[in-house]
Amino acid sequence: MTRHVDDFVLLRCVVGDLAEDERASIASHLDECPQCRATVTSLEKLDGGLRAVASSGDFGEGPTEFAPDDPFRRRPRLRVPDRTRLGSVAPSTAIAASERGTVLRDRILEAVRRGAGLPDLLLREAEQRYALLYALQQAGREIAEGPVRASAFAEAVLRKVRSESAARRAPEEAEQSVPLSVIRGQAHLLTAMACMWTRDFSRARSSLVLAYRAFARGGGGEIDLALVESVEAQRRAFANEGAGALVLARRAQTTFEELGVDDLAARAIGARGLAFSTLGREEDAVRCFREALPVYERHELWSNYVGCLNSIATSLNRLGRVDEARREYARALRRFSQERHRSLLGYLRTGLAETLFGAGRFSQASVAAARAAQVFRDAGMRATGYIATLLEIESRVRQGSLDRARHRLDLLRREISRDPTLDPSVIREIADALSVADPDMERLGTLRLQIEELIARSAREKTG
Amino acid sequence: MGADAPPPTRQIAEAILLDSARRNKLFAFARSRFGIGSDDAQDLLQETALELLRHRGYVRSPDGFVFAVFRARCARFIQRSRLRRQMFPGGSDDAEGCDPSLPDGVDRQFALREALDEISASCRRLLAAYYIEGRSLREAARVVSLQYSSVAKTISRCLKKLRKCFG
Repeated sequence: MTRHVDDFVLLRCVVGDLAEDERASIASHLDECPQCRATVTSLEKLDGGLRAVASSGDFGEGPTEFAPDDPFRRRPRLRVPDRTRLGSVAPSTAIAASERGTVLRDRILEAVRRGAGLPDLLLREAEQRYALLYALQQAGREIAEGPVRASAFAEAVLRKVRSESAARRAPEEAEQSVPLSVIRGQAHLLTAMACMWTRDFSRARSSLVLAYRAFARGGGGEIDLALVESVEAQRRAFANEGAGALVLARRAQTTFEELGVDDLAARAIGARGLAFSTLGREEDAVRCFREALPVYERHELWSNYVGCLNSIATSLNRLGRVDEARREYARALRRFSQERHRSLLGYLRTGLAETLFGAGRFSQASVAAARAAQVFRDAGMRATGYIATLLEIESRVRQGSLDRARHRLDLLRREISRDPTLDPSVIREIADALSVADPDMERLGTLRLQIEELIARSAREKTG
Repeated sequence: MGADAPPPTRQIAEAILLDSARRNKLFAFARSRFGIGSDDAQDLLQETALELLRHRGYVRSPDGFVFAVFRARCARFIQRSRLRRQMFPGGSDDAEGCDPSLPDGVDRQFALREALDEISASCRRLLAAYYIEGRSLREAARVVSLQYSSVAKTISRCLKKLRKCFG
């Protein structure tokens, strides 16, 4: 009998990947060799299993490179709790503590919203830990409403946890119910989410690594790790690391789907869309965004909804399908009311204006931007309103209405003179750029982006 | 209640304080799929309950969440037991009465996914080229290395590992 055939050749035989002469030679070997026949049976099963895993996307998106020391290369194994300590928390006790925690959570969030800081909490008690954890999770869901505030809240929690861990050993009931490291992980995750909004991507990255470690080492669940991966996928997509973003988003999506949390799965799908877009696969990106959009609407996750719609429009624009993008916005604008969704309408109109601007339809873009600015002013969102007005001004210049652009700039300058957010010198530069008969469009565009960056930086400085 | 509202406490409590019929169903699942005895299953269910309470704000279907987390915890528990057996052969095992044979269906896939994490990147890339990108295995081998013969040995070793995990 010839020596045994290696597994790879047998797998090729199983899947019909061998030439006729090779197949005949293997077949005659199999007739004589029970060990290789057993291997073939085992490989047939493995082939079925690998097909099932492939259909769930767990191989990753093709040949993707993670650096060997990349902390996200593989999902870390979760630490198994010390089993000798289990059994001391009765489920009914834990439910009662969690229920009291939800009430206390609202008080914590109220204090944070008022700017009163973190209330004095006794983290030796399970209910207070539940409260803090729930408050951090809720702050993450409301991140669009105040990333600066959320970041300050996360910092305060981290200080509190540090002093608590240094001070004394926690009672078992509290530590089993909500380990301090889970609270720490949640606080780092919130910091990262806030940094994503203020475009501080480098700090977001380090906070996500800290969150990943804290959850993995200290009693977090798969859902916690998937949440971190989902945000890291977005960050990588923004950082032009599309391949890694795709793997992480898919990994997170599988977990969320297994756990039946469709709103979180939609966020992971949205992150996949961003990754596809980074890789220039705009059709795939649009497909992902369209899959996520109705889920955001069903769960009333409006900041995700707006971001997703803007992403659809950006991708459609890149594919040259501007009218389709316009129709997407028109459908969304018809759906929302002026009273209930005022700021949402502002963001939608800004998105529409940017899409039209990007497509060179400056006249329509200026009208959409002016409406967006008005909505933001009415909602008291001054900084966002400035950005919309600057887009309106640039659109007017590009459409050739220089006088109207100058008039709009005068009004903006008066508004800004009463607001310390912006350095007036940048506005003076815009005025200079507009003072000539034939303004330098490139310079104007750069100045608008510079102002957007200034506003973002001002928010970053407040986050410390 | 808003569309995004998490389930009420009553529903959470029902998912945790299972009636004996549902509890027994989960224990039977742990035994038949993973070979886990009821004492260990009890502990795993308690960990699951605490995880549900920590994530109650995210969860939409508490029963589904409990089942998915319980299943994942069972798989992790078994994996750790196997690891201990490999490290301390003949020693005591904390998965008493644990059946070393591999479970069927979805949990074998879970084990396979875990095993895929363990194999070399080049082997994983080859498998992805075949199972996802639709290349032939011979072509896929070229994706990871120029020489078919040099790559076949490595891939065969990885396939052996995967077969072991998949049963």
